[in-house]
Amino acid sequence: MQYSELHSLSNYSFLRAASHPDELVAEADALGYQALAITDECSVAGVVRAYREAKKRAVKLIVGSEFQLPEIGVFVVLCPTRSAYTQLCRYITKARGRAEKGRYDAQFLDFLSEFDDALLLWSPAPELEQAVAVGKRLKSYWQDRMWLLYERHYQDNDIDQVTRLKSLQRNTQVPIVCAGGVLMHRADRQPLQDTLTAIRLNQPISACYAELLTNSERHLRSLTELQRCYPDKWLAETQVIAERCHFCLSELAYQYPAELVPEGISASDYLRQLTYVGVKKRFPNGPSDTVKAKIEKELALIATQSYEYFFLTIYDLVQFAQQRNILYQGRGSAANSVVCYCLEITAVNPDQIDVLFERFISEERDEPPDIDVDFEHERREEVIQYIYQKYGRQRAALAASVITYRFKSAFRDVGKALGFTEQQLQHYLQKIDRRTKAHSWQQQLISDDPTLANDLRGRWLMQLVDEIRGFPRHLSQHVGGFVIAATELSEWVPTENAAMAERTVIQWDKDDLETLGLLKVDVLALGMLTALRKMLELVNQQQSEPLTLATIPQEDSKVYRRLQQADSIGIFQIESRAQMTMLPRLKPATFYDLVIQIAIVRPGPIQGDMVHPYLRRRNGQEAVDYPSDETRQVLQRTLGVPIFQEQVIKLVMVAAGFSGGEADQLRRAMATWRSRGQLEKFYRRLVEGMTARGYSNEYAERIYQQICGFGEYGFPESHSASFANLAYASAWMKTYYPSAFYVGLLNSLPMGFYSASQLIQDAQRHDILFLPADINHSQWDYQWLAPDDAIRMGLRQIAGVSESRLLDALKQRPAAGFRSIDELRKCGLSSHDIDALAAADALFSIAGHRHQARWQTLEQSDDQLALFDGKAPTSSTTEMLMPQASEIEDISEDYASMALSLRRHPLALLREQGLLRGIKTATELPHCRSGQIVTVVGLVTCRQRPGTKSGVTFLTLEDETGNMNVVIWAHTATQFRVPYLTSRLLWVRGVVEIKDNVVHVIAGRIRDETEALRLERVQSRNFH
Amino acid sequence: MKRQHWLYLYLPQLALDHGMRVQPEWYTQPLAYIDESRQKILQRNAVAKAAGVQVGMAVATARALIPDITMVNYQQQAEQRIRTQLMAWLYRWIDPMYGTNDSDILVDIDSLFSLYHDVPSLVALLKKQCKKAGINVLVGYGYSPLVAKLLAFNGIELTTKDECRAALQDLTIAQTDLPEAVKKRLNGSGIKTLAQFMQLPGAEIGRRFTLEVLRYHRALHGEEALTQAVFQPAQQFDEKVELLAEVQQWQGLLFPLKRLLMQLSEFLYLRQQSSRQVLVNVIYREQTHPAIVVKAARPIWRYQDWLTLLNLQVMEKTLPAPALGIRLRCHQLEALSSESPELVANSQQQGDGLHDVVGRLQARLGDSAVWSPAATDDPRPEIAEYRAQPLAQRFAQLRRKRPLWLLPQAQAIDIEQWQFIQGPERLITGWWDAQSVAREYWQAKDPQHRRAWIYFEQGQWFLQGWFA
Repeated sequence: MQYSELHSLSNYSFLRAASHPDELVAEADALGYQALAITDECSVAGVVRAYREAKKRAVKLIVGSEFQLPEIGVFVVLCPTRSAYTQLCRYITKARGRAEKGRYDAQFLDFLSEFDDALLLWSPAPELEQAVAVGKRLKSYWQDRMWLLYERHYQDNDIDQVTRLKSLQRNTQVPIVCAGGVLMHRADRQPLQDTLTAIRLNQPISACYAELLTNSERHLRSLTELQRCYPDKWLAETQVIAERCHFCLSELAYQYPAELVPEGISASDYLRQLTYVGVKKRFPNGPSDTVKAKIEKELALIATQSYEYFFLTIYDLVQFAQQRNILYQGRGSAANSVVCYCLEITAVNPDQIDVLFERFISEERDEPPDIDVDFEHERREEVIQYIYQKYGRQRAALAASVITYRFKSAFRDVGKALGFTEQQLQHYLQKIDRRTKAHSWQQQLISDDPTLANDLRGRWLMQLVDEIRGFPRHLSQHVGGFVIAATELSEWVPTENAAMAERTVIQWDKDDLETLGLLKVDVLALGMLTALRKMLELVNQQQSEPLTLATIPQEDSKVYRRLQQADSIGIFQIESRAQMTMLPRLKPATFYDLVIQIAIVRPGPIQGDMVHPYLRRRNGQEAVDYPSDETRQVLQRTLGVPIFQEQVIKLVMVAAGFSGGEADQLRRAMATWRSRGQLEKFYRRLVEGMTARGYSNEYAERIYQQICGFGEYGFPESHSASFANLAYASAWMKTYYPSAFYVGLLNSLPMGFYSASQLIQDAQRHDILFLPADINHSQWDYQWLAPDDAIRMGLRQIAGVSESRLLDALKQRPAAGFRSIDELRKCGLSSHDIDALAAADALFSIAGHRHQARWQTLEQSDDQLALFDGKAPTSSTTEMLMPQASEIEDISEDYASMALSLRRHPLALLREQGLLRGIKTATELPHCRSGQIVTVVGLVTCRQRPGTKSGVTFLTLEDETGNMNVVIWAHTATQFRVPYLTSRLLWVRGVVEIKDNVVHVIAGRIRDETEALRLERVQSRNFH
Repeated sequence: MKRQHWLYLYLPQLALDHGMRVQPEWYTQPLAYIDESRQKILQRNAVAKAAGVQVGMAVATARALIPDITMVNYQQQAEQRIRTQLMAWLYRWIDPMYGTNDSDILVDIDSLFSLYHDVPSLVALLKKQCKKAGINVLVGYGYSPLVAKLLAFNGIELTTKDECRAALQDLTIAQTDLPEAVKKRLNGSGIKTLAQFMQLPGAEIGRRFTLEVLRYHRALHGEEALTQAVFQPAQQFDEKVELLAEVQQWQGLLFPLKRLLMQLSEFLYLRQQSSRQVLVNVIYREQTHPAIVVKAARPIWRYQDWLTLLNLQVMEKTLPAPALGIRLRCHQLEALSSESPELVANSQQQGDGLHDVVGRLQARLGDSAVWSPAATDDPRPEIAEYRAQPLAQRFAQLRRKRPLWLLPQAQAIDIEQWQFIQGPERLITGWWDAQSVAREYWQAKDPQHRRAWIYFEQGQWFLQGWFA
């Protein structure tokens, strides 16, 4: 007997079905089905995953989709041909376009006009009274492309259904076909299926019995079972249909937008032409022979893979950015090619860093090139609008990003479905430390609450959470991955509305696109580019020779000296606490050192315990050697220690004997392991492969740990190199034009690691003078007052003012300045704006000190004026004099209004009052003896518990002289829980530890001193 | 005449105090009431306090401090019910009093001076009574309700007008209950103390703030109009206790129940009332079960009597599911003097006919013998079917082809004797509890041609029920 399953939903019909598309395909194949149709509800989001699996198997994949029409029944549309597929995609786009995100609206009349090539299976709704009339209408349109669908799930009314369908068949002459209405690949997914139903209905299982499956028949049944279930004729009909279906997703050969190439020239020639134009610019003295050879090799590779249009598309985008003066930078594996450098997609001279591997375009893996382009974050939208304008909304859309169940969301949703309370789940979650590798989360849970192991609900929780992990929940939009097609996108894949207005997303994510060879262009946003442009503009106002990113002098030793002293606040990528403590150890002195510096403080190298070996070798404390000659080739540049993701991948090939294909699988698994946990299966293969080739077990283990670390945050060398470029540029700015540097950053916030307060304190420590915000002197942005090398605070720093109203008012500011609050109102400021300005003490020049100004502002509030019919009431005959703020009040109110103060640091006041006697300042700490016991006090500005080190918390304390790093071990944190978790002003007694100029205080005792200081808005970045 | 003497009873953790009184285990484990929407701690017990949990703290922080802290969602309505109960208790000594929007109590004491000669003795009395009831209280005295309230809120318990005035002047704006936005504006203008605020001319305030602020200003000067209604004790008793942990046995319910009955006693005694009937509801997570009706042949009020009756009734029973709480109601009150010796209820007081019939049947046959058939949505027939309180529910609409009446327990049958009519219907479900089923159901006829519902499970055929 032969059978094809024509109606099955995957978990891409979100929360409706309990198996992954690939599981369905594999099971159908194992059962000996001829074909399997994946027919997700108004969606083809899961078909590419199914296709990936089907390519490896004998079973044929049919693409289709299910539509639910209330009162009419269920329609299953199948695609026998490419044109039917196009119709389906167009229709899904249409039905989804009619509804809000995540929903669709399918109407009966659509099914009488939209599909002249597709096949239809119809399962009439039981309540439909005019079934015959409806059937006849459908039949008149669909003709012999239509069947009545019967699915037997062993319910009490099976016989009624059969009787009804047979009569409908007699009256309409439409044949009957059977199918499974499949929701799961195996019967044992029933508990998960029921759980998903409960999650979908947002009810515990006990409250939705009526909606649950009453048995497990909706799985892929064996041929024997099917024979018992259906008449032969209906089974045979499935074959008739399957044989009519010829469409395969491989037919979707991608066509690039043709308009990118001028007429009369081939894409290949055009790319070559542009590349050589660029060569003249990039290598004014003529390219070296090596460069020439590289270019030719790359061009040849691009031609064999037909990727010319991809490079041309990105070239077109960056050309646009250049014209608009938008800073950008390309990165990604293909980005660090000479061709990209010549096309000005990237700024990293490949000659300079001598790109490590030929991971440029891999012929072997047939993997599309990867180029991400970062644009200024405030101006990326211009680039996106350019894409829409150039290609039209029908041809350009964002790739989807599939939001899947992660551990916590899985635990919460499954737990709620099983009837646990929010509180219980919260409690359990707190007991689980996902970083502990020694015990599974289930073991941890049982050790906390042993009753769970004997409790049925508890056992299901532990099983189902693992099952549901990796299940898709909904489609979201990719951060910036655009798909651009030669013709309408909806011929290829349906598009649907994104959460963001005016954005559409396709139903496939980046892996799907990769599988089908469709290219996406990543248009990303980067705050540092915005800041750099602003810095460059400021600098160029001061000098005649314009400075650009490309003309910033390279390899300046003064810049590196400053970095070696960890003077890196505000500098791209190397400003975090962890990076700052690495700088004096690694002592970067060249561009490539920066590339390593950026990549080394990441979970991969840290978990693989590669940091210290690298540092020892760099400092000459350990000999550089290689486990073998093959590894020398891979690891030479990093002194024999694997640092970058590419190195590790290459290493498993040369050291563990992975084939290219296996290495590729590993790379994919790394990208998704957090959701699906598929790395474990490589573990044995890796360790056995390496030990068999003579590597130590311990080394293999470390490599595996490093791979897991990369899974959390992969960091290839090519990215690091691009980032190092911006890191160097910002460091150069900080060294030579510090005022422009800080102004550029402050005017681009929010971005980066530090708050305005921290940046300004850093600037003040670099002897830069800040002037307060003032309605008569400030602009919206911070200004660099170049002759005095001072910075005037911008009004943007004040909380609660409207940018547009204020910009408007500033335009009307008289040359001599505003003279009264009333004048401000006349310029369009609301009383709310004025109150905020007064609170920030920015009205000093017109209304006196902040208390007086606010009291005055209150009198003229919007409500009051309305009462007096537009005429301002005469103010009281004798103006009340309000008390002036004390220094501490001023500081406190500055913080409340601007989250910073230009006055003295609060700690300076406490010290002046004699409250901090015998307490070390941040600047005194480095002069202490390592091992000395000290006391420090500071505002907590950052609490960090790195994922790579269990049990330790790093606190950053700030006093009037700078920042201090405090290390709190787990037992101290437990002992002093309250101050550890809640304190804003912290007293710490501990031991100073000084090594390689890095100073830490290891806390022994801590105490909350917040009461000594009442500041409202001292911010701390907690536990990121 | 303007009233010039007020007491404000600030009850900072009324819900918690009440909870601890009925459930002593609340004393020993960390516990807090939370504002669920804002995720803030509202009230916490001493154990939680000792571990660093503060009022106003974020729930997440509290949980980080004490991972196994029990959090109870605060419900103002519930707290106000407790407040009403407290007022009913205090009603013995004081009147008039008012319930405030903050779940506190305001007392007008001008008229009480004839009974209690001075403020301190009155304050002492109220504190003593609150203490007896296990309730924490701060008593503020003032020449206007607002003044009394502000002092109480800040824990300032004074008893002379002059002291009050001075203490009031020392309060900061932050210590008042002015709206946050107003506080911010006043502070921003350098007005940091209540003294400064009170010295502002009313006209200056009127020019800058809403009428509400102006009223506040006036109230501080003793000009205040009350909007609340005077407290009147309730005529029916209805109290609920939520249990901290699920209770499996009746035994575990007896303590909280005894507390409730004591409250009832108190309630009845205060009103010089008695009753012949109370209703006890056990609250479960999912099911609702009918109230247990405890009937007395004559009107009684002492809790010991109720407890004896109740014990008799529930002694043999097991709880059908873990209990989450209990509710005690007493609606039909009779004056204590009207005690009647008769054993059978007076027919004049009876309700409608059908209920009457049911009531008589129950009286004759026992409560459990009279019930209405009902079914839940549970797919498993014998679990779905339950015996509902008579007349409480209509029989659930049947979705599937099922017989109305199931046998109390399925009977094994010999299939040779039977003739299949329709089927099979497969029922494989119930994985979530210990009663999962995997059966194939058929409609079939027995040798007497009776239509029945039978199933096959684990190698054996069973008869589940008969079609009518």
